[in-house]
Amino acid sequence: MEIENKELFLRYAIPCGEVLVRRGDLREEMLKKLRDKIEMKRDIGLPVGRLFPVAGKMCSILAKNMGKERIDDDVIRKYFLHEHEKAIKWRSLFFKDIDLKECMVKPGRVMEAGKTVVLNTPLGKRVIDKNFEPELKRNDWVSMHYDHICEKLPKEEVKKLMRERK
Amino acid sequence: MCFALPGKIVKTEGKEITAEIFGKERNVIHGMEDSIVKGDHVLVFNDIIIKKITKRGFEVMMEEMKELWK
Repeated sequence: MEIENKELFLRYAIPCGEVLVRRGDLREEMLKKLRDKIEMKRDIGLPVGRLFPVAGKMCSILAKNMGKERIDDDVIRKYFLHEHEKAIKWRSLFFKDIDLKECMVKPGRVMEAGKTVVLNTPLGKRVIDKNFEPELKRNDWVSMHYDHICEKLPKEEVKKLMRERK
Repeated sequence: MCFALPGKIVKTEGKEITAEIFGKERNVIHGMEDSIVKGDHVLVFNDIIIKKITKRGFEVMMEEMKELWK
């Protein structure tokens, strides 16, 4: 199924890419190429769903369940912000020894914005230098996945995330 | 990281499908177009079957996962 907004999908998927590289499932050069394409706002003409097959397949399933023929922004956010966490908890049924906190997409509030960004997150204060959202200011809300800022979040979305994660 | 886990189908009764994943039996949902029968090897994510795999693929993944989760 086609992903309408490949940039948004990659903003959330790329932070997992280093794990895929370590496993040998994704080439390091490809990960760098994808990162560059986002940062330089270049056209992403790559089959990103195939590079991140589980996230791609899960977005397809979600889109179908939502009665959609394409993977749009709502589907991508529903997966990475809401369904992803359930899936991670599911995985911990099998591997309890793994710390999955970093894997979860979390909300964060900008405390300082500059070359690096200081975020207040549910895991404490974080200094971030991998940021897909170039124009941030103090008090903005963002989503964070591993050590990346994925995108700015509207306050309503943050409230929803906080309610879900209580 | 969105890892799917390898599993084996142990029961199919109508729409109810059970897969064994790392020694645990789970009721799973069929998320694909292909048909599923008892004995099939699959990739499962969040109790959703996302892909059918070969027996060889299953064995390789189990071996890799053992290494990964040591």
